[in-house]
Amino acid sequence: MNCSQTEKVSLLIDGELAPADVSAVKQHLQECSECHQAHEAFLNLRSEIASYNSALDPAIVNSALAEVLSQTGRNITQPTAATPGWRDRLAAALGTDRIFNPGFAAVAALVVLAIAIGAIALFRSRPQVDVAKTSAEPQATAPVSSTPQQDDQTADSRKPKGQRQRPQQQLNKDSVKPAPAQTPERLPSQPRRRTITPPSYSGIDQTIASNAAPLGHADVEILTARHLEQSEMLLRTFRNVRTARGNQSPDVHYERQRAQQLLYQNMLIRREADVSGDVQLATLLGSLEPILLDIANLRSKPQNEEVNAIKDRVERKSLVPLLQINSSAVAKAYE
Amino acid sequence: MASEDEDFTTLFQDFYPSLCRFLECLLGGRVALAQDLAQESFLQLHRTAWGTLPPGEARFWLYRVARNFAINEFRKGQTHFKLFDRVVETMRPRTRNPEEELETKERHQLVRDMWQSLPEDQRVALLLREQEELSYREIGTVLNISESKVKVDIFRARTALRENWSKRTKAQANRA
Repeated sequence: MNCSQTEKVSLLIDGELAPADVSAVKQHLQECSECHQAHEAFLNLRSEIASYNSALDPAIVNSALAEVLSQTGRNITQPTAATPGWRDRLAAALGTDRIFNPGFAAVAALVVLAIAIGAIALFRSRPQVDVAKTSAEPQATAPVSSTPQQDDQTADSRKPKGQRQRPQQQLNKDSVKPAPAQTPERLPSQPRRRTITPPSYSGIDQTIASNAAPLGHADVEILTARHLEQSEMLLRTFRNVRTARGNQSPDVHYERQRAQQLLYQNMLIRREADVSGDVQLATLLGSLEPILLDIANLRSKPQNEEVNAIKDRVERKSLVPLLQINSSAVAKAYE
Repeated sequence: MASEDEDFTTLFQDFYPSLCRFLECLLGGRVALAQDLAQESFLQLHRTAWGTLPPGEARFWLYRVARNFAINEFRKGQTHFKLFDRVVETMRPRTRNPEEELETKERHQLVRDMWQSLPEDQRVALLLREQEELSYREIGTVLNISESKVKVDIFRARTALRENWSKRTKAQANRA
């Protein structure tokens, strides 16, 4: 490479040569083999370098743009900007969408959803334990009759006063002394509010949703004790349903709603008891379940006989005292 | 503001792929890093210089900033190779046309190897010329050097690559 004109060859192919020199250099190329070879070599190199072209999927461009705009506080909607950048990048880099086919995406979505639900359940249930433990002490010295039945009072408010107070009075007989002997019903106020759905309850799914979360964690015992007590309360209330006269039907609207709520709760806790090997509790809940089911399935205007038949079964099974004993036992075990 | 954003979007869509390719060549084929740095360059542009640059200058500004990012990466360590790049390289499919794929890959590897033998300023100048088709004046603007230096750098880069190329070709012929 001794020809002094070779540098001009480089300028020629770049279009940077002065117009006056172009024809002279082209003429030189035909005469100088060294410059001719250099010209060809430079053009080959150009094509090699220019051919280095990693195809970039438009989705990647849009994704990167969306990320830049989002980081600068702008928010221009791009048609494909919703796809995460790394996924686009990987897919394009692989030159395929095989690993991101719909099936793969569906499975991935399910896994993410499951993790999210688990995390939410954990997140929701953990504070309850803390609340229960931290609130146990102050609640223990609090006046007994102030909180425990507040939630039920709203539901019970349409009932005659005498009926409404009876279960409460019976309950309070045992709970005049303060605290450790009291049932967990009086310990955590927050979980109770969550578990007992207000009268605006409108469906089974809601019950499952509201009851499923507490079961997922260590406060099963609290929930169990509360459930037993709630069931006991329901059965007491149901026992006091007045027999209708003439063509009228007994009013069991409230009992049906509560039974629906407690039924699904009962099923869940019974399964828990089965799994954990608590035969006594599982048996009790197993005998309670058909009662709850029958109450929940009562017609809106049932016959006296239907109501009385259920009352008789409750009495025969001695469910009310059994529930009371077990709720106290569970509460003591928890303490 | 809407117009500015639209202009930025247009600029991004026009030049992001080019900037990625430019960085990929500079970085020796590290695709993911190149895309990250290209994105970072646009982010810098939007945050600092967008709206203050004369029309048409944004592109040069981008190449300048991107080049600086690439130099920073070199300083961090040449041997650093991201896991992502390895995964991409390992999982890259070769089913459509294996022979063609292999040939393209080898040629790209050859080009990248040759790049690495060049001084950084020559490499950038030639890349901007051959891939981005910038004029000498524009390259001078990007690199903040004179046109005459651009001219020399490009010529030297071409000469070096040509020699390198012929050596490799001879070596391959001897092996065959």
